[in-house]
Formats: sequence, structure tokens, C-alpha cells
Amino acid sequence: MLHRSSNKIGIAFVLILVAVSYFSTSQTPEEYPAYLSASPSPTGTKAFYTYLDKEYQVTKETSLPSDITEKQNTIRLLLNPPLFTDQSIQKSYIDYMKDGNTLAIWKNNPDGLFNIQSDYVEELVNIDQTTVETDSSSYQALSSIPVRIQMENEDHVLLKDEYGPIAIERSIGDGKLIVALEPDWLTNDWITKEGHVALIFNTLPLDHEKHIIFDEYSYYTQEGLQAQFNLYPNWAYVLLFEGILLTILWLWYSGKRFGAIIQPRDEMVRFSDERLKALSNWYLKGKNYHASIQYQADYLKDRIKEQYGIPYHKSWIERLSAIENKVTSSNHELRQVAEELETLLHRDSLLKQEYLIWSKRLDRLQKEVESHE
Amino acid sequence: MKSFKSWWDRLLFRDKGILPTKRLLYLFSLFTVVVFLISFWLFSWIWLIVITLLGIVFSLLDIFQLPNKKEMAVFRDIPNELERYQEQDVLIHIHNESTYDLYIRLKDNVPPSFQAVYPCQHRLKKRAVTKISYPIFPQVRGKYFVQNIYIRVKSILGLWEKQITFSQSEEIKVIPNLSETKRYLENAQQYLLHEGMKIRKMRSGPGEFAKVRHYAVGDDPRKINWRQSAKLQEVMTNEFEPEHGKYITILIDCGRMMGVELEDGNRLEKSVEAALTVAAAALDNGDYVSVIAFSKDIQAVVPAGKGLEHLQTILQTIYAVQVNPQESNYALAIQYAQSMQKKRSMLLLFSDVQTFIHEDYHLHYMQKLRRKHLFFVIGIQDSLLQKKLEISPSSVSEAMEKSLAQKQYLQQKETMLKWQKHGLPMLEAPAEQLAATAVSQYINTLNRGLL
Repeated sequence: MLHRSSNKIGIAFVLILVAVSYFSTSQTPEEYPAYLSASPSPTGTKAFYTYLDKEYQVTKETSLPSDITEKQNTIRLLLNPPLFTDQSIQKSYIDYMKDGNTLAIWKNNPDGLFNIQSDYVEELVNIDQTTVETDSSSYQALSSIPVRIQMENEDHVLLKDEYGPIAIERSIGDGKLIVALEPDWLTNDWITKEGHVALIFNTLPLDHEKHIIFDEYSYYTQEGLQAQFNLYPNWAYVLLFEGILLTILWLWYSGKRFGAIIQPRDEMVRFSDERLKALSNWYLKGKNYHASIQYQADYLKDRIKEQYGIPYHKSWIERLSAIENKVTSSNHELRQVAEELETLLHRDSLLKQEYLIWSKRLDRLQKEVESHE
Repeated sequence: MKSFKSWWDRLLFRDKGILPTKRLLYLFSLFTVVVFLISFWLFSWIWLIVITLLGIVFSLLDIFQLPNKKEMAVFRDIPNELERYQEQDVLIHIHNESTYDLYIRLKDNVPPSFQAVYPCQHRLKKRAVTKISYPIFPQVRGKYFVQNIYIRVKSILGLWEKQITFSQSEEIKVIPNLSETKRYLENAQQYLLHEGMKIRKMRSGPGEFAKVRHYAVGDDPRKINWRQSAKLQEVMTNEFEPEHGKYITILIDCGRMMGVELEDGNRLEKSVEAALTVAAAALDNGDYVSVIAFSKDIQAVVPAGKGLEHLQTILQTIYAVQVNPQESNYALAIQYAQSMQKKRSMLLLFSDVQTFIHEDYHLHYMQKLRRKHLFFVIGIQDSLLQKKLEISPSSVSEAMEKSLAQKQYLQQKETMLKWQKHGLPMLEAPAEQLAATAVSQYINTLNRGLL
């Protein structure tokens, strides 16, 4: 039995190793990212790339434009790049343009990229097709995004429709920046539809002399598609990852029930003074202080009878004068208490303050009588 | 999906499964710290995932050393009858048939009121039987069913722990604490001497002949056994003792106010213990004892019986009586006792005096009862009331409570006097002296020949 289970675990162990090595060695992802020049999927741009590759000088690059650019007068294509969070990346592109090169960007919403700003156009939400004008003619085109570029003074409009500019050209240093919306026109799926091909060639200043670079930096580097993993320093990801595992282990450790399910014990404690408490609340609500003093006086009477044998029927003056010199209170005090108590017991009602004072007085007397046992 | 669900169930919620230990958590934390420090110089996701998975897989190797359920045998040794408030040990025999030494934690399925303290780390030798004991201290009487024994084993390495459950059904009765009864049966005279009451054996007047013994100064000369004196050439005297074969009926109130909490247990617990002690005393003396437990209805009845073995019958019948949150029906209980007990008997009612006297209407009824039986009420002194009587009031509500306590005290005193005048004595004793007071009352009654 032990042998069989160890086999199972051994097999699981091997499988885990195989899986890890598979994922760690294979660089080709099963699904292509959109707009990849090598992607034959409808979202890829292999058709466009293959055509350019035949006709022009084309290279793919997966790195940033370097400072020492030997080739001048090149066109660099960026298809739907992410917004660069790192200023140095943006700077290297600007330097590249200042050296006299052209940077062409197709992006769904280029707002914030190289100081380009765009407007949201509400009417475009429901529109699939639009008529795009170039300098010389106009073409039908599919529209997928509801934004248009905001123009600045020195910008040259390459494409526009009734809602605003779709592609513009801006001079930066010796070079140019071309920004166009609708990168979908370049995809394998859409490139042959409507007038997309013509529009693309109207936008790009293609020339057999010029070298064309497909910039796929953003697909292969951490700053690009994997940029979300570089937002924080490495140690933070280590802590996050191991922390998640540690939390799972800890929950597992502390969550597993050990022993039977314990039913909580019923509330069953009862105290013998429940009746007293209820009655006293009721007396307090009814401000029944006189009756209460009467009970206290009766109890004291009982105590005195137990202690000194003075019968119940005697008055308080007789009773207290009989215990003179037997308790610690002075005779004068006792006489005063007796007289006041007589009048008090014959009254109809009692104030709260009086009640408390008399309760304390009777209590003191009671203690004095009891302490003489 | 279904198998995954059952696996998940087993992992977290069932009685068996595997779980990480604290040691693994500490090691994993240490591992995290190391990886964290390394990550300042070297970092890659693949490296991180591979090294973490390798760490976890290596820790899983520890599971090989854990035994199967078939390689363990567990047996529980627990007495079927436990006395309340008496500490006892439960013995667990564990046979470890696997080839590894193990560490074990265990939990038994005894109810929480047993206050069991389980051993937390116990070493099990390989291929050997280990005995583990844990103490229990039952708090609440009653019948309980105990089934599963849960154990968690881990290897010497102790990274993962396996939980296994064994089933062994057992019925356990928690009976009243018999220490007072045992003390009485061991040495009745000393038990009562301590409480200030003597069993009087020598008595003049009617009684049963017990034995012949040497004459001692102060003995009644009329009781001298002349025949034996002549035979032995020494003065001998006859000794008499109260008659045997009297009938004692014990009534135990299980109503609302008997549930009042005392230092240990409630009034009913003390009353049941006292009732059993009186029963033991009477049975030991050769009398007949019957017991009725009641609240709103009759809860348990033991017909009159004789001999100490009858105590077992009584115990088995009343060991599980519980407080009923309803007012007691005294009339019903007394009527029932009368119909059951036709001969003259001593009716001993364990109840709350305060509740009993509030039922004014049955004084007349009791007077009728008085002609046929000897009736006693024994209650437990209300220590809370005593405390309230002596309180120094500092607020109006305290003063009010005190005055009402005083009123209650006076009223109770007055009513008890009134009933006593009618020949229906009532007693109140502190909780710890209840049994002794009840037995003294019984002995006193016999000594005076009232029955």
C-alpha cells in the first residue's frame, strides 16, 4: 500500500518537473499577441509585413532605437504600443526622430503618447463605417474606435473624416512623427476590406530608399507587454508570491477541523435573586419608598427582638431606649432616630433622598445590633 | 468535478486529511526570507516558481513516513459510569504498526462538559503499543454517547500531519457525586459526629433487640440480662436499637427554582446527592426507600425497596434527572406519593422552601397528610439572600433590593414557624451540609421513634 502511494507521488513529482521545464524553455506562446508581424491570425499583421518585406527593405527589431543610429532616414512602425511609463523609453524615440527618422504609430487611443491628445466623439460609438478623406481623394473605411486626434498648429493632417483627423504628421527635429488611429486596418482580417490599403499607403511615406523597421520592442520586453510585472521592485513580487502560498498553507493549517463539532451549551444559569430583582425594579418604578422603609424597620425590629428580646408591640421610642448603652450610637442619637422614625412611618410618602438617608441609618443600626452578638 | 469536490471536502471539512504543520509554516517563512534577500541581486519568475515548487515537493516527501489508517489501531478504555466532579483518567491504547516512529496528538469525542485535557505531543514507537491517558472532570450529569477518536500523526521530521479518525461507540453515564454517600457508608458514626448528631443505639422503651454487651456505668439496670450475667459471671446488658423496616419516601423537586446556581453545580445536584445519602443511610439501616422526582409532572419513580442493592436501582433511575424550567406541582407529587405509599412513612421533600411556602393553599391539605405520614421539607439556604440582607446600601436600587430581601426573610421565617406549629417542619441548610442535615433529620426521627 505504501509502495503504491509512493509510486503515485513519484509520478506526480515527475509530471511537475516536466511541466515546469516545458513552460520555462518554450518561448513561443500558443496565442499570438494582436498586431504581431509574425502572426497569421486575423488579429496579426503578417500579410502587411510579408508584402512590405517583398517590396521594401524591412527588418524587425525587438530593442529600442540605439543612440548611435547608423541608418538615417528610416521609418519605424509601432503597432498599438502600450503607453510608456518609463520616460527614458519615450526619450530614446524622440532622439531617434530628431536624428531625421520617421516614427509611425498606429494606436487605438494615442492620448498621452508623445504629447498627442485625443477627443472622445460620442456619435462614433454607433458608427461602423466612415468616409475618410486624404489630400486628394476619399475612401470608405471601417471604424472601430470613438476617438479623434486633437490637432495642433504645425500638424499636417494626413487622413480625416467628418468627425476629425484620423492621422496626422508632426515634425520633430529633423524627423517626423506620424500618428494614426485604427491599427485594425493593418490586421490580416481588415487590410483587404474597403479602402484600407490605399489609406495606409497614403499615411506612410514609403520609399524604396527608406529602410522600414517593425518595432516589436513592446512585445518581447518586460517594459512592454509584461510591464505590469515591473511596476514594483522584484522583492515585492517575491513577497507577494510567497506570501500567497504562505497564506494558503496557513489557512489550511488553521482551518482544518480537529475533533468533533462542538454545539454551544445552552444558557441555563439561574440565580436565586431573580424574584428580588424583579420586585425591586417594580417598587422603584412605582416610587414605593415608604413600604420599603417599613420593611427595613420591621427587619430591624426582628433583629432587636432576637438580640435583646424586646417584643414587637413596643413603640420605636421604647425599643430604642431599651437598647441604650448597648450599642455604639449615643443615647441622644438613638432618641432622635426613634422620634423621627415614628413620624416617618406614619407619613404617607417619602422622598428619594430621605429614603436613601434612612436606609443608611437603619443599616447602621442593624450592623450595630448584629455586632453585639 | 465530483471527485475534486470530495477531495476538497476531505481536505478541509472531513475528519481525515493531510495538513501542514507549524514547523512547515516556519520553514516556509524562512525560505521566503532567503528568497526575498536573494531577489535583491537575482530575480526571474521561472527561477522563483521552480525553486518554490521544488521546496514544496521536497517537503511532501515527508508524507511517505506517515502511516495509513490500517497501520494504526486505537482503543479507548473509559469507565461506563463516571461520578460528577470526580477527576478520572481515560486510557487510549494506540498500536503503531508502521515502520516509523511518530508523534501524535489526539482528541476524543467526549462532551465539552467533561473538561478533558488532551496530550499534545506524544511519541509513538514503531511497531509497539503506546498507552496515552488524559484526565476528565465531568460537570453535568446525564447519559452521553462517545464515538470518534481523532488523531493527528506526524513523522519525526514533522512537516506534514495526517488526521485519522477511529470509531468506537460507547455509552457513558455521569452519575451524581457519591462521595458523601461513601463517607457515610464507610463510617456513619464519624460522618455524623462531624456534623454534631449521633446515632443513638441504646434506648429505653420500645425498640428492637440488637445485642448483649458488657454492662457499663450509666446503663439502665432494668435492661440487665440476668441469664447471660449468670452464665458468664459478669454483668451483661441488652442493647436495643430503633426498629427496622420503616418506610422512607424521598421527593426530589426538579422545578424551576432548583436550577439556581451554587458554587459547584446547582441546587438539584446537591439535592440529588443528599437524597442518595439519605437513601443509603436508610437502606443501610434496613429500611424501605422509595424515590419520586417531579417537576410539573412526575419525572422518575422508584418503588419502595430494601437492602443496599436497592441504592443501585435508585441511582440508575434518577441519575439523569434535569431541572425543568417550569413551576413544580407539589400537590401532584404528594398525591402520587400517597397513592404509592399506603403505609405510614417519612416523606422527605428536597425543594426550595421559598417556592414551597408561596403555595399557600396546601397547608390544609398538608394537615391531612400529616395524620398519616411524617412530612419534612429540606431546602438549601439562599446565600445570595444572606448577602443581600447584610449589604450596606449606597444607592436607591441597592437599598430597595435589601429591603425586599428583608421582607422575604421575615415572611419566610413567619411561614416556616406557622407550618412548624402545624407539625410540618421545614429546614434550610447550607449547600455543603445538606446531606448531613438530611441524614441527621432521618436519624433523629428514628431515635425519637416518631415513625
